[in-house]
Amino acid sequence: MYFESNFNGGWEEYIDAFSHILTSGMAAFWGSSYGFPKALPVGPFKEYIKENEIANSHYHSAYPEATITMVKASLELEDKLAPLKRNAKRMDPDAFAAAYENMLTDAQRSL
Amino acid sequence: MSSVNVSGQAYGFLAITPIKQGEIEALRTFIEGLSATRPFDRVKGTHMARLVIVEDFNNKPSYKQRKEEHLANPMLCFSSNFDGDLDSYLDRLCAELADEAPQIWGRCIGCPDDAKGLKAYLKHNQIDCGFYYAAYGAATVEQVKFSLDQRERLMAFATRAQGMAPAELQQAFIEEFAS
Amino acid sequence: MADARTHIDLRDLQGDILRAYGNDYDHTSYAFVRITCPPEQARAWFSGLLDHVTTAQPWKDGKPVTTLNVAVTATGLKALGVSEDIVASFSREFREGMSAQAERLGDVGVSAPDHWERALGTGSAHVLLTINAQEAADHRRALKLMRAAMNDAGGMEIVYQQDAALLEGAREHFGYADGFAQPAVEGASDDKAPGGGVPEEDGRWRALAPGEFVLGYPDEDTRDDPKRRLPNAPADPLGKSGTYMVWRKLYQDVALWRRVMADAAKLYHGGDEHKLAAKVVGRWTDGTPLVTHPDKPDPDFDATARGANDFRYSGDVDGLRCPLGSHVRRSNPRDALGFEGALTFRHRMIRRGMPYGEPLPEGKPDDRADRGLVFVSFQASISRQFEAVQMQWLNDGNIFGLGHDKDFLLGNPATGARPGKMTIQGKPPFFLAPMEAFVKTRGGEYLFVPGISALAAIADGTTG
Repeated sequence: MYFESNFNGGWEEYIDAFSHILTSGMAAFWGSSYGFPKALPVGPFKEYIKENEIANSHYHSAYPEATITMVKASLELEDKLAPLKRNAKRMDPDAFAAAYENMLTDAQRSL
Repeated sequence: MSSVNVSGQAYGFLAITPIKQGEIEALRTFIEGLSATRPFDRVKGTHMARLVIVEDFNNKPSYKQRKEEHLANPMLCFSSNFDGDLDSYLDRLCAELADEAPQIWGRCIGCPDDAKGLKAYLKHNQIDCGFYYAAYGAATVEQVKFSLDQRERLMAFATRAQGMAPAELQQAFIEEFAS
Repeated sequence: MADARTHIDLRDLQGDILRAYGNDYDHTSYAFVRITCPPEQARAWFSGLLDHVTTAQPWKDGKPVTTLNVAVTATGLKALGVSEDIVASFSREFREGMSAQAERLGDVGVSAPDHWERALGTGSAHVLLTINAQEAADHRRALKLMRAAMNDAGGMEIVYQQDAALLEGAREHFGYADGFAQPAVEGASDDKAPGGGVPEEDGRWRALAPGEFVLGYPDEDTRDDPKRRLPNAPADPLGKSGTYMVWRKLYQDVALWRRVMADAAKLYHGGDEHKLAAKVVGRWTDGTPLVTHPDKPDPDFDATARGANDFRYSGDVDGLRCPLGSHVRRSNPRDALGFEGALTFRHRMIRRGMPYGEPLPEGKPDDRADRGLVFVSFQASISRQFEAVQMQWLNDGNIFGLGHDKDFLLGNPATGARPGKMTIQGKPPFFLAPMEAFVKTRGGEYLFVPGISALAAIADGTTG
């Protein structure tokens, strides 16, 4: 079984999270592999990963600074910003200011 | 090969190719050097790509396998997540990586030395996804990069625009985002 | 099903780890000792310390006037003659030392080890002696005795000493009540479980397994292991009843903090600087949690009362009460990351730090005096508990949906084109900028706090 993962954050916390949250999912993935010690407790599973880890030779990302969460937030933001961008020139200043404030309020989880 | 590799307009590709005897170290050194030149930037539509060398199975005694198993050859795993259809992507890849390809797949068994041959070779060695999921499969690389940059600009704008009166705010917004 | 509560051997554990000595100890000194003599000679001195080391046993005859505790660095273990094999059984980050992790920890720019105080992070600090005293006279006497014992022994010197003292109201230098929110440990501080433990359904809380903070005991990962394996620890006899210690000297630029907050508040809610500052911290200065009291502090708040920290974030998922990036929410997210706390419960730390330096009176300009916080934490795993929090929760914001935003209270010297900011959620949101280096790392060490029998084994040269 060849397992590949791209993630941000530390390796240890990532595995801890998997083991606690996806315990049965992990058994489904690795249960048929020799030596799989079960996802919990996490200590022996971490050893198993270390024993079987293969160093990357080359990893490329078109946007290496961005996380999935940031990408999704940015795409959602574009949806919310688009109407304002389209209409900005046409609005009177007070209406624009109100619409801008609403947009920020609506989009703040992305900012 | 089929739509199992597709999510939105994104495609998940994996090809595993055997490495020629004696070439593994040269291949590894070459691949490790690619982070300096970022060749996949030239292959339009590449969100993420990876090249990994798998030497052999682990065969650790404590795993209690019935018998030891060994790969006949070390393997090169190439995965890519990109926009659009496979054929167009491979055409672009084979064209843009013309210089690098001989040092990567050229070190694999049975790889032809022309671009058309490389494309066929990669397709021949493709492994279909059992399941492919793209978190933002509708967005191209260009759209992602534009949106990321726009988010940065909006955060910076929102900070400096605090306290601006409506007319000034509108003018500044138009300059930044709508001109 | 776990066994009945694990019994903790308090005689074998050093004090101030599972239960704090408390705020009666106004004065603290941290003396980093460098050993230049051969290990045998150093061990003779080390032996002499052992009778004076304060354990975790409850005090029967009232509080001692002073306490002494001992910790060692990786280079210190070697200087005391512990073999390479045994040292190799300690965690990687401990052996490499804190200064080797500078990039990962965000100790860059003005906080980089190049700028650290003398000796810290260089490997020359071997043994840390921590002295706590209730009264200044006792404090001075204890320091004198310590120095005399070292002079008698010969072949060692204090390469760095930091004195610290409680500020009035148990505040830290930015004015915030600090230190009262601690993890609840089963068998030691169960009373802190409401608010200090792991949040469970129905509003209940459970205390954490002792092994999260003391080696040789089951931790949250192994407590239900049918094979009864224990967490990774240094080789016996050193592992049992020991813990890892993080020590950091954090300079606080009080004048800068006050100036930036005053400036920024001009555009916030009609200039409510106290509220803006509370939004950054996640509590009001008296410790009232913002998430329960978003508009003003609770006049009846008592930080020491049972249940004072009994609050959660799940009722405030949008951060409108307590911002998603506020300091206390970042450092202990509780139930804020979903999955019933599964992403947070293994990253807790016991904190025993002390402020240092004279306070800067309100309204006074920067006097360039050295003041700040000596940050001290105890945890079974430096990488999982201290480093993960530093890297993932304080120096980054992605897990909270905040991209790469860092903790605004700690601040960050603006590097490159992107000056830091903090989003204060609201209707509309407020963007707080610029982020400045309010806190600078002046030095630090990773240390190991051996149990009492482990200390004896080191002193006897019988560590294997």
